[in-house]
Amino acid sequence: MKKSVLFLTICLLCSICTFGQTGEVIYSISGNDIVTKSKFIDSFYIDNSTSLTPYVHKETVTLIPSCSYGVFTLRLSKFNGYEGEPGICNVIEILRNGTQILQLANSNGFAKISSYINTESNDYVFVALSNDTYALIFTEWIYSSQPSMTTIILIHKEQAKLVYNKPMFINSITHQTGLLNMILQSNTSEYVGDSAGNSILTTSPDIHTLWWDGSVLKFQ
Amino acid sequence: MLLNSLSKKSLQFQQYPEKYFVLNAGFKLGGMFHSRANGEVKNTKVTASMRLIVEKFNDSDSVRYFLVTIVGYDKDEKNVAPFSYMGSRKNFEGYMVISSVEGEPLWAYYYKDETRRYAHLHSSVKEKGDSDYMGFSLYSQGIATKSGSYSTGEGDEWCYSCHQYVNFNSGVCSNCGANPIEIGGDDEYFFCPKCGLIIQNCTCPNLPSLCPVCGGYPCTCPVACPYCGDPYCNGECQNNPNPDPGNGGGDNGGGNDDNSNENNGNENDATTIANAALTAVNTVINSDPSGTKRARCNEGVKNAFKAVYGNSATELDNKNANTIVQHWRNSSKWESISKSQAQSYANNGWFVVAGWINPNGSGHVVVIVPGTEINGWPVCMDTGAGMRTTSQGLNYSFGRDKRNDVGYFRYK
Repeated sequence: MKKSVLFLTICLLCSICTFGQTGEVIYSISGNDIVTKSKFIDSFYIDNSTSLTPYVHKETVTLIPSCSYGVFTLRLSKFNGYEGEPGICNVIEILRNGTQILQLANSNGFAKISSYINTESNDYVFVALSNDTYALIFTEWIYSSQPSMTTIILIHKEQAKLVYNKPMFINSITHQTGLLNMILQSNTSEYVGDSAGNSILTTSPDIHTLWWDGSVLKFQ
Repeated sequence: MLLNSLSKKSLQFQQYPEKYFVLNAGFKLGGMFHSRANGEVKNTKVTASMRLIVEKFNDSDSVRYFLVTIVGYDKDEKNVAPFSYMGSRKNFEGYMVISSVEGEPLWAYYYKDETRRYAHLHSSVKEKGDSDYMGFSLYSQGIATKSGSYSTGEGDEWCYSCHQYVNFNSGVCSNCGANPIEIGGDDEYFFCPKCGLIIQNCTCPNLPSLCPVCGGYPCTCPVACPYCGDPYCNGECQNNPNPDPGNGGGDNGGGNDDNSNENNGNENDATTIANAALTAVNTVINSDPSGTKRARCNEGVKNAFKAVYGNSATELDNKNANTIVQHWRNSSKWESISKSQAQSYANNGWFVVAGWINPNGSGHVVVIVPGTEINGWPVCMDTGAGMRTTSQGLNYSFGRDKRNDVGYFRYK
């Protein structure tokens, strides 16, 4: 009963947050294909000053044990020589039936999302948006108070593609099966303390929302 | 240690953060070097001086004072500075003994060949034998008082068990009954930095403390220069004391020939810096219960700065990260240092910071804290977005694409 009330409350809050938002779809579906939009995808920083291979395997997780589109697996690795660098991994791979269908690499490293979002308990967020669509969300390590990459991989039918990769703080994230709502911030809220010990916000946060509208992910 | 009337006074105040003044002994002090090497005994007259150093800490109003006795000679006869507390001892051969006004010898250094080594103090009575030795004695008008590497010569000896001058006429300490402990020779003795007792007799809780740098006790770190903080300093730094022109104080008691750079800068100790970082992080956490999301690196650095130098240290107030770094670059109170120097300075108690200016937005600042470099990176306190850490490798605070643009600074 309590869980139902909580779920309804979350749904209500998310409805309030997204109600009236038109937003912009961040990708489209053409047939079975995911069609990305480049404006929502920035490049990761890669430092090629050292040899990054062979990758050092860290973890392999089965994301989707079995569905009509196959078995999807997540493999995380670190760059060669990056053991002393922050982050749980530098390389994200999605494998379908054991074959790699997506690889992302990032010298800045990916952080445990639970490190920054206290409502999360895992290294990343994996949410089923529909019967054939899943979102896998990572966050980059936050350096120097700069917004770090928020990374969203969409798994749709047999494909997995990077659909969103922008420097954004994740202020909050709400997710359930069929539900995703993220409050993002694209700038750094800087505070300045005066001699009296007061903290004054000098930079207003630039807030955005990214949500699943029932058929596609939208951004505003 | 020798404690006598102090009449000729010279007051030299430094406005910030500490005040010092120096009292010269009001009597003529002389010294003798004594040594035996290869069976040959030498007694050489040398120069000696003594100063009472008083330091006032602005943040706490606390005052500490100690005696500095310097005995030896300088190859550069025109150099009078070696007999000042902060003087140049590049060409100096001799001893500096720092002692409490109660007579407790605290530290002794031996200078020779542009290097400085720790010297163990021990009783002249006990070192008499066939072995080689070196040491010195002091004398003044009407009073012959030995000091430094010999006993006080006043009939009492220093008891390393109860930490007092006592007599051992009965074979044991007249105060605590402990057997005499001979300090010196090839043995090494270490003293609790808190109670001052020889380490075997120390009962202080949690002490002897582990060195925050090397993690051991006794500390195995190289001996740090007390002036520049560089553990590998050969004394050269004292030829360039680099006084802060902004800190010049008035001569409140008449001048003398003592070194006008009578200060050791803003050096603290490693524990002070580490505690300041902890305080700063906790202050940020307590002031922002929403979590770690907000960028408060500037506040963390400011808090740490005040934790060390007091609330009157306002130069970092009302500044964001970019303007703080700009301030470090432009202020004469701050010195730009290299990345490779940062950890060493922090470990020796200097307030060391690092920062990056973002030309397109918010920059970032951190405090380098005492510790051991991690993968070649100094360790730092960071209260930026996503961070509320008292110590982490600097590569956890600055991304690979920004690390070459990070500046390091020391508060002089």
